[in-house]
Amino acid sequence: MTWSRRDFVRTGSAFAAAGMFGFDSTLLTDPYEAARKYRPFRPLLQDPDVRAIAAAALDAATNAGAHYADVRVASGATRRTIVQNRQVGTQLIAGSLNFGVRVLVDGAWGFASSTIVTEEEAARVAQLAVRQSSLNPWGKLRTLDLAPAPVVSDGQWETPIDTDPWNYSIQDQLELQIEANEAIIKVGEARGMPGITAFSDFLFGKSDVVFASSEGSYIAQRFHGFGNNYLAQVMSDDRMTFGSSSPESFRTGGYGWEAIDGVPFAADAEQTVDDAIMAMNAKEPDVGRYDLVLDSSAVSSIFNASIVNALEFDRVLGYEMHAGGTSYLAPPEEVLGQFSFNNPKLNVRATGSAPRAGGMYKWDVEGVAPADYQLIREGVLVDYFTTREFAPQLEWWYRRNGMPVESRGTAGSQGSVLIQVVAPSIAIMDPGEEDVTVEEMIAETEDGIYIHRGGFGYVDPPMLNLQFSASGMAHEIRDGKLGEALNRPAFLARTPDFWRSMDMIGGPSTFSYQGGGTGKGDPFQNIGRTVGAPAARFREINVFTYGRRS
Amino acid sequence: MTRRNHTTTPAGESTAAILSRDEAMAIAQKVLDFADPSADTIVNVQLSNAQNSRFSRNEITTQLDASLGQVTVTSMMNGKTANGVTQRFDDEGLLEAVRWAEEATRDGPGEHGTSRLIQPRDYPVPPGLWSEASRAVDIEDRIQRAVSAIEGTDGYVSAGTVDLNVASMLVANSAGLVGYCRSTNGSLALTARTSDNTGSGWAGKAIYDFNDLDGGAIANRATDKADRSREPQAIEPARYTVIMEPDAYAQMIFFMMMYHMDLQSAQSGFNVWAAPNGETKIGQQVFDDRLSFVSDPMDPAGPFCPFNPVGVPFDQTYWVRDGILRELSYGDDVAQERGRDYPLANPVAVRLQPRAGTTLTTLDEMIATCDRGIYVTRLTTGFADFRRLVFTGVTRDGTWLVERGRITRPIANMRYVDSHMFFLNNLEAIGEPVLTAGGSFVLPPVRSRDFNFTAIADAV
Repeated sequence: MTWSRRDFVRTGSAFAAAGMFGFDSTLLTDPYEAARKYRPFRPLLQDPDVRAIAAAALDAATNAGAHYADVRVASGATRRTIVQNRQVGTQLIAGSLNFGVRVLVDGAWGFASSTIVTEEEAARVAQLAVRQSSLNPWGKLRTLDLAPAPVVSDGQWETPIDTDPWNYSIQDQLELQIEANEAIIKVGEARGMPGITAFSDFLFGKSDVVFASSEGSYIAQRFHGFGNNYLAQVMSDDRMTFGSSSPESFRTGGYGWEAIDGVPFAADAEQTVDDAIMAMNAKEPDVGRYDLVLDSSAVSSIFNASIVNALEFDRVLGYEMHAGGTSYLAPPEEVLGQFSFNNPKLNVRATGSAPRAGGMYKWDVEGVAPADYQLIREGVLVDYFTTREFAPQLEWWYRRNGMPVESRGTAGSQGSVLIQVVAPSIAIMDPGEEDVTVEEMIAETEDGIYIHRGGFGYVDPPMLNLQFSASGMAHEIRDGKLGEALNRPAFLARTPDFWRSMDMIGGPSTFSYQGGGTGKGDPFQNIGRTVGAPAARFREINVFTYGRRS
Repeated sequence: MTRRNHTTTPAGESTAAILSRDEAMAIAQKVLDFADPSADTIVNVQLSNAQNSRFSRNEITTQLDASLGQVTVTSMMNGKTANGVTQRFDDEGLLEAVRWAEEATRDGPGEHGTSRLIQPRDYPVPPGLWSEASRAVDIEDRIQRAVSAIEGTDGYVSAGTVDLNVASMLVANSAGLVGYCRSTNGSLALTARTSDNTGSGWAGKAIYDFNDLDGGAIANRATDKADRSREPQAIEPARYTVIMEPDAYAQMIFFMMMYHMDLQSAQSGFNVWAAPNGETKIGQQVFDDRLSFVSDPMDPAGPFCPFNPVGVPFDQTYWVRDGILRELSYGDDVAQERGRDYPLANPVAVRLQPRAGTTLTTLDEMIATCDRGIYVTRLTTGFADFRRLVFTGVTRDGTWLVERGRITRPIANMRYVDSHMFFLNNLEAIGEPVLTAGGSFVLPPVRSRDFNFTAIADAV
């Protein structure tokens, strides 16, 4: 049977009768016009069906013998458009609807998930999770008691944004992207770079996640976010040397349509193209020891990879020995209160909220509100990122210091179909109290390199072998002044040595939030986070280059 | 929300539910019926089940059973292409996905491209890709493999995973094409550390048939390596001959196949195969002339589904033949220029095949005939230079000095900066290709000169 357009509309009308599917009744008249404002998204916040599905999962789990269970039901939508110059590479709208059930039987976890969101399937999946736990021979050896957490019986929260991007169409999004690309091309042509490439990849995401637990919590949160990659790339005449630059006009994080609307991309295009040309012509750095002044984006990247990840307690315990990697901040009983980076300038905090932070939540994936607390105080390790499972293992430390034995709300996961792991959403390296600027740090540096606007920090297990490559801009510093542009300097360092060498730290004006993340688990989960850090100076770091030509 | 019609199973039974060809086609047909008849429409229907038992510190810590469905609709109309994706198999969900794709193909800004639909055809069924035994694995079987691996590491600190994936995929289009593929694969891999935390060993294996997974045997390989790598001594970082297990460099091959095999990107100067002035290195000798890189869904050691998500067939493709770069993947615009019926698609699965007649050497023989070198079990691998395909990382889980034909002592881990682009040109010996533990790549052990170790690494 082949359906005509008329049948298509009629079918829609039957579904639209059930408003809970998020169908707009205007679909009945003109689906293509209505589609402009149609939101490809099934709201869960007030959905009685979802409450029943959550209850079915929890009842099935506890009836089958779980002493704890939680369920997450999620509905999401993303809209992604990739444009190179004027050529549309990808335009995609993707919806998701799924759930995951986590259960505890004695001392063993079970987890199962599905994309069939019905009460019947919820019960089946919950029973499957219980059976996994029951068959785990180690589960019988002890009972796993979770750290207590307040029951939140009717939690609601939504990422604060100005304008819902789903009020705009995919064509509106493309129009803006093409305009931004054309601004770059126009400047490139004016600079004698007709082969310039402008590339933009924009993604809006929205999701509703309902969390319910056998303890009685029921929390509905709506998350919004915008991610982008926007850059200008220029090539030498032989196409073998290139330079690129990303303008800072488009930000990533907890934004709605305002992320791209009214952004001064045309004004930034000149600087962006000039930076790309500068990067293309940049000279190779001379291998040697330098004092490095790093801006907030470069510090954040290294901070995320070498400190924030190492503070995740599952890595500390060795749970990630075979996956995401272990931590040098171990074992806890030998390092808590004792391990020092030998640098009082290094202070690390977790926080539950930061302006426009991507991945921000009011309750984490096990229903715990994130706390503001200190993890590294004046260079000394004083706490970890944990979960309700792991916090009790630090009871000895928390009791000694008069701190509550509880999760600080730093559990995360890549979607509701994968099990919760330790993954804080916002981590901060505090700026200095005095407002030292980048200019002041450069002025006080004799022979150095300034690395700014991005870079990749990697660490190899156990997070001790740090590797950094500049990906944005780099300039030499001679006698307190910026000199020539350098091509992608890189350095290697041992993590604690690197942080010990930090002798100047920027003030609040040098501080910014950047995207970071953690990678762990099996199946491997990539979980985004926001990291904040100031600019800083690091003494006598071995710099080298990977070269540029093949 | 209507429930998909699938067999109900008893409480708590693992189902490994996938879609049969008929079940998947019923969903695809709805999408094609919902679609605007004036559009070219492609629909891809997938349902997969992923299971695992993870262990660390010698006990099972978490387990997973995820049944994930997805329907992707590609609509081509008005010279534009767009995708709609849903996880829902019910009519509302399917209609939504069609609507999203078609909405985006309406008049709007920008230049798009469209591709010709793949015409109806029969795809081969790769032998060994599907195992009923794997589909029928119950939680108890899976846990038992993990238990035997953990028991095999008694006295050591171990961590690892038993994984099993069962998947179905159907692609159909408005020209009448239908392709169906189902597959099973799994793996068991683990790391074992000695109790003094100075020795570490890794071993792993990928399988299609779950019966081929022997937890005890894999544990023995790992603990043997852990024992033999205790109390390592540092040696001077320098260029050394290396004897590499296939798993050591599988990640490098993955990065090449994933990010560097596109023709247009090479012509634009963006990948490792770029040559000056918009040319590529096609036709040039890029590896040792004994080596070929060939992707073939019918590969007996590493079969894979014979078409991509929009139905483009994966034919046997020699990317590199006898060391010479022959092909890079391309889209339908290039296919039309070349008078071909469809694009050259990249499956990101490849065999590194020694030329017929090459003497194949075992790892033991490579050691026995090595005057001085380093035996490498495993490397971490990150990009040092994306465009030149140069990597950096550290050795892990079993690194030894080889002197005068035998392994003489464990050595401290070292950082390297190097690439298969170099060491597959410095070959001294090649072994029999085997499926690596991560799946998808069938690679030989190799012995190679002048591998670049740059520093001592602080890692077990």
